[in-house]
Parts: sequence; structure tokens; C-alpha cells
Amino acid sequence: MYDVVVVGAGPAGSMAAKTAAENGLDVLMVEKRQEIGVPVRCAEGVSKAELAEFVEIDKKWIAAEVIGAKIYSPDGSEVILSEEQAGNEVGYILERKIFDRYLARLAAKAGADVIVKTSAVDLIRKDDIVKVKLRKMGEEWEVESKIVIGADGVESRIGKLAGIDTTLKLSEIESCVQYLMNNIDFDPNYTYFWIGNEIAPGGYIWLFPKGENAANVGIGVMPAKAKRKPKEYLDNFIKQKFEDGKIVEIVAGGVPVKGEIKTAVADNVMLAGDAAHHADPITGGGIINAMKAGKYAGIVAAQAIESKNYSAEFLRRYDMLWKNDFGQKLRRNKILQEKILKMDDKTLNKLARSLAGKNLGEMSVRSIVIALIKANPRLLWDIKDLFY
Amino acid sequence: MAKNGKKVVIDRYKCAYCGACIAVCKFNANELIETFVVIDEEKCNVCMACVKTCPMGALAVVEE
Ligand SMILES: Cc1cc2nc3c(=O)[nH]c(=O)nc-3n(C[C@H](O)[C@H](O)[C@H](O)COP(=O)(O)OP(=O)(O)OC[C@H]3O[C@@H](n4cnc5c(N)ncnc54)[C@H](O)[C@@H]3O)c2cc1C
Ligand code: SF4
Ligand code: SF4
Repeated sequence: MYDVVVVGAGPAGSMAAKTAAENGLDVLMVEKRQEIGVPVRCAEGVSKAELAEFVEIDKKWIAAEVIGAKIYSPDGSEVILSEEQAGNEVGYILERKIFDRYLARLAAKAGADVIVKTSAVDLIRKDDIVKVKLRKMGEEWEVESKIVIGADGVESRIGKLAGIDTTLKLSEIESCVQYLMNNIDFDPNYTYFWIGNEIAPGGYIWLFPKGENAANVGIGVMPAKAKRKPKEYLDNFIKQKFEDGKIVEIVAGGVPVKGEIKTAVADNVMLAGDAAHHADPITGGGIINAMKAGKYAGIVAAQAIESKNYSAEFLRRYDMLWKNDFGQKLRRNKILQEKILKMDDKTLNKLARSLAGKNLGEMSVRSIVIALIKANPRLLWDIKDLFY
Repeated sequence: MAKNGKKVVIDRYKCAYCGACIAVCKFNANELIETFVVIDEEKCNVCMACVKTCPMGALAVVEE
């Protein structure tokens, strides 16, 4: 019998398995893909400072570093958020194929068992423990565990099997397509964002540098708002902006943008990362929150095993931990997202123009919103208290 | 289940096995096995959520 079975070997799962194993627990991490981290479903941008809190930075999985962001409104007005000069990089673009495997190996090194090409297909709770039904290459069997950590990403079924409804509505997901492009021209010190109801309804287009003349160029749109598929919007944009670019990889994916969920626990079960909709509703970024949540879930698992108490009531302290850390930010950015969704392109242009020519410094949602509130107090009056 | 003779089909040549369709199915009628999406016609309610979400346009509703 295991102390903990972790389902999914993304950043959330590997951090959970690593933390639980470091605390002396018997851990099994199950990943349904045959190759951890592949295919990638990510634009791979993270904050340098936040990542450094978890792992020692290894150049092997850093593709590029950036000093800031440039944001464009529908009429092309530019807003810049950046450090004044190169040398002060604030963000990394990862190579997630390598990064995800690296994290999984840290979990294995800490003592966790890992199996790949194996899906968790059912949970049966019985006398205070859980039987997890696994399926590998057509063969099914069960393992017993005291705790299950569902780190199974946006397509999570562990939550639903445990009675937490994690189905996303069409207004709670971003439908995304991304190309790794070569032979395109841009300043590699920056990430780029294009917003607008015509070019990316309910989402945005991004460009994240991955080295010389190469970048992840992608789009997320909200199915509830978009009239066409994200791929069509992206192809349209690329035709206008990067006609000579060569596409060397295609990535697709869904990002939960629901905001904070009420609870990520049930008896014997905790959900972490995209499975618990921990990605940010404004940026769609989810790597750091997934790592944080995985770590908290691993810590609480150790406490639960020590107290021999796997009830939802006990596991609520996991809810407390992730909510205290980033729950408020998910709530705040959900409100901001709902406000932005109602803005037409004219308003977006007006807002961008009110900041045009200024460098807002720090690369964060908060610094943009505070600058916007200063320049347009009336438009954003109702949300100002959330950001000060 | 009554679906007026309709069903959801997948174009495997278009699918990029991203899992977005799984996230929006409230009937747990689909599953992504590695690169392979399976739709359980018994459970599927033809609610269209997956069809509208698929980033690649790989899903469609057809008359049976
Ligand atoms: C196009 C796109 C761009 C993005 N860009 C960024 C970005 O720039 N920065 C950022 O921070 N975030 C970004 N995100 C979000 C980020 O990718 C996720 O938030 C992050 O990967 C979540 O980590 P996770 O560990 O929760 O889930 P995942 O990384 O999705 O891992 C879940 C794992 O669980 C496995 N699994 C699922 N079901 C089962 C099962 N039943 N049994 C066994 N294994 C299972 C899956 O195969 C998968 O490997 C982006 C997402 C998309 C789609
Ligand atoms: S049509 Fe609805 S019920 Fe059927 S697979 Fe798609 S989302 Fe699920
Ligand atoms: S959403 Fe579309 S591309 Fe993604 S797995 Fe489902 S059918 Fe395939």
C-alpha cells in the first residue's frame, strides 16, 4: 500500500511527489503519456524570481531570457513593461520537454516510484483508503493508497471521480494553438502580446522568444466568444505579421481560466495545478501555481499520514495553503478578466493610448492596472480596491 | 440517449491530442489515451461543448 499516489507528472505532480517523498512517504507517480512532458502544451514563460524559489536554475532547460513585455492594442498602440536594460532579465522561456522530465527525475531521486504510459482510470474509496485503478497498455490493475493527489492537468478526471466538479464551461477555458516559428524578426529581449476582439476574442496572441529568430507564437481564445477556431485567427495574424516565418512545431491545448475554486479537496483526495484550475485567468500562466500547489499538497499529505487522518476536513489545510498564497490573485484577476471581456476594441485602444510611450517598469498585471487606473480613473473605479 | 440521430465524430488527421475537449465534457463521455481521443457514444449527449472548444477544428457533429 502506498501513502500517496500522484496522478500526472506535470509540474504539479512532480513537485507533489518530490515533496511527499522527501518527507519519507511511500509515493507512486503515474503518468499516462509514454514520454513525460511531450507533447508540450505550453508557451513556456515563467518569472525568474518565482521559479528560483523551487529549483536551482539549470541552463539545460532555459531556452531564452527576457527583460520585459510589449503589449499592443487593436490599433497598434504599444505599452511597455520592462527593466531599463538587458542584464536585468525578469523572465525565462523554458524548454518544457526537458524541464518537466527534470522535475520528474527530482521526484524519483527523492524516492518516489514513477510509471509512465499508465492512466489512472478509476477511484474506489473503501474503509478510509482508496483503490486506484490503473491501466497500462490495455492491462488493468489496482493499487491501494491512503491519499491521491490529482495533478492530471486540464483534462482532470480525478476531481470528478472524487466528487469535485471540475468541468469547465465554454467561458472558463481558453482554446489555444501555438507554433514554434523560425526565421521571424523581433527583439528577443521581450515577450509580446496582442489583444483585441477581432484578433483574439476573449484571449490574446503571444510571442515568446526561444532564441535567435525563433519564438513560440500562439493564441488563446474563449470558445464562448470566438466565432472561429483559434487556428484560423492565428493563421490570419501570422500571414500579416510573419509571412516568411517557418513553422517547425504545432502545439494545442486548453487553459482553465475559471478563477479560484471553492475547494480542491475531498476525502483522501487533493487536486493541484490545472486540475484545480490554478492557472491565472488573465495571463493563463499556470506553471508556478502548479508547482506551488504540488508542494503544498505534498506537505499536507505528510501531515495527514502522520496524523492518520485523510478526511476532507483534515485536508482542508491544503486549501488554506494554496488560497493564502495565490487564491486572492486568482479571484482578483477573474474580476479583472470579466471586466476586460466586456470592453470593445475602442475602449482597449483608449486604455492603451493612455499609457503609450511610458515604460511601466515591473512586468506584472498589477502594475498595468495601477497605471491604467491612474490614467483612467472612471473606467476602472470599481476595481481599484482590488489592486491597491 | 436521445440525440435526434446525431453523433460527434473526430477527424484524427486534424486532432493535436491536446485534451481541451476532455476538460469541457460534463458527461465524461470522452477520453484522451496518448494521442487517441475516444468518444463513448452511449454517454455522449451531443451537447457540442467539445466541438466548440477544440482548437484544431477536429470535432464535428454528423447525422447518424
Ligand atoms: C498553449 C498554452 C500555453 C501556455 N503558456 C504558459 C506559459 O507561458 N506560462 C505558464 O506558466 N503557463 C502556461 N500555460 C499553462 C501551463 O501549461 C499549465 O498551467 C501547467 O502545465 C499546469 O501544470 P500541471 O502539472 O497542473 O498539469 P500538466 O502539465 O498538464 O500535467 C498533467 C499531466 O497529467 C497527465 N494525466 C492526465 N490524466 C491522467 C490520468 N488519468 N492518469 C495519468 N496521467 C494523467 C497528463 O498526461 C499530463 O502529463 C499554457 C498552457 C497552454 C495550453
Ligand atoms: S458532445 Fe458533449 S457530451 Fe459529447 S463528448 Fe462532446 S462534450 Fe461530451
Ligand atoms: S480538443 Fe480537438 S485537438 Fe484537442 S484532443 Fe480534443 S479533438 Fe483533439
